[in-house]
Amino acid sequence: MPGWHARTKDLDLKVVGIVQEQHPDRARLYMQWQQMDWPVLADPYNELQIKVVPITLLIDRHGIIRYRNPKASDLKKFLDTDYPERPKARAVTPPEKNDLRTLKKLIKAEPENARGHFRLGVAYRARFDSEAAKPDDFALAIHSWQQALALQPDQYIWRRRIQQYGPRLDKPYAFYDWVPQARKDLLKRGEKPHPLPVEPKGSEFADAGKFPPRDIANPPPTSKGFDDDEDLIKVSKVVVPSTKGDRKAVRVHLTLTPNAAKKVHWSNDAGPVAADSKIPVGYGQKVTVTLHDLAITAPPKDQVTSSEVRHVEFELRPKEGKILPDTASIYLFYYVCEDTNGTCQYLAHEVTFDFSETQSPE
Amino acid sequence: MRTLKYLLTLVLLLPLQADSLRSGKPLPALSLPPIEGGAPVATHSFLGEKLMLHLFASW
Repeated sequence: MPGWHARTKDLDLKVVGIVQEQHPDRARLYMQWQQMDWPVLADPYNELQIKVVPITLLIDRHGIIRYRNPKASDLKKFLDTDYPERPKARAVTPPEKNDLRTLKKLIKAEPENARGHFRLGVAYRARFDSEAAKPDDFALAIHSWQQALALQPDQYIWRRRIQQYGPRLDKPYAFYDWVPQARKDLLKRGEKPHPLPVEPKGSEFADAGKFPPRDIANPPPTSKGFDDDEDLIKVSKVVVPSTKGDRKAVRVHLTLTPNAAKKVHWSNDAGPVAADSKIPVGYGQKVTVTLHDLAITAPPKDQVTSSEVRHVEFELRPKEGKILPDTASIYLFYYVCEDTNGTCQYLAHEVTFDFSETQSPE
Repeated sequence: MRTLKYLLTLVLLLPLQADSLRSGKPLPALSLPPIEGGAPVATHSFLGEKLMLHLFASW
């Protein structure tokens, strides 16, 4: 597309873009970086109903598409041709409602409506990224997208939406690897990069090097007896399998919420949360999976205690030559305190996985 | 044989062309918000001059 931009910027031609992304503001940063200043509209719900990108269209002044993915010679022909007006050229599409209530109703009435499932997933993820987020929103988004893709496997825009949050091995693109470079280049040019309300992280980079694993600051407990039995930290999980339909890897997104009723807070002196697939002594299970690509929210700087929601993201892969087992566990370790002057403890939290039912869209 | 070839071409092209954005078809009239935020803009508001429309994603 930057290629087309260079070729068309001095022509008598209006250039417009429509982006197919969950977070269209990221395209705004991309446009700034690439110094492309034409208007761009956001279509996160894929109202255009296209299955792939990129697509370039040449449209005459009456609204009729004349070329799809034109060659340079087509552009010349297009510019040289005076297209006649055609009656009824302007098809009217009624606006769609994309609020959660409407979409849930739609799916209830039409459980096989693939687009409905996709749009519902977009709405759930949008709420997850907002202040009104509910704990299950992200899991419901992934589930809805999987339903949509199962009904329509050749829909590559929908597939990308799952892959964005899925295992590293299931990435056909670099996704948002360009973001750090764009910011660096913009700052060098003396421009302030457009802010991103939802920062891309973890699985949204294809290159694991963009998100280096953090050191585990504390040794794991050496024996059983340090479990977070009382759920001082509530852990909710979203497991995203590969869209390829294999059991070679899953991407796991965990949300850790301190129990507000017990006034639980993190003790930040002990460093960030740690996670490991190695089983503490006393648990009596075999290690059947390996943990990769661990990314953990850092504690806020200069705060001895805090009670914010934290995220842990990683990939689980089977031992070499195997597929993911039916069940597996990983362990989170954290240092938390109850109430303002309550006891502080270093605790382990087992998170279990059941891959036996891992449904893939294919 | 020619019919078969034609049909085969048709079948091969169908999945790629399954949307309505084909040569000779009208641009769908949608209202979508600009990426910088604000009120939705009608796709048809860009008509009246020749238009190059890029459908893309930054990934």
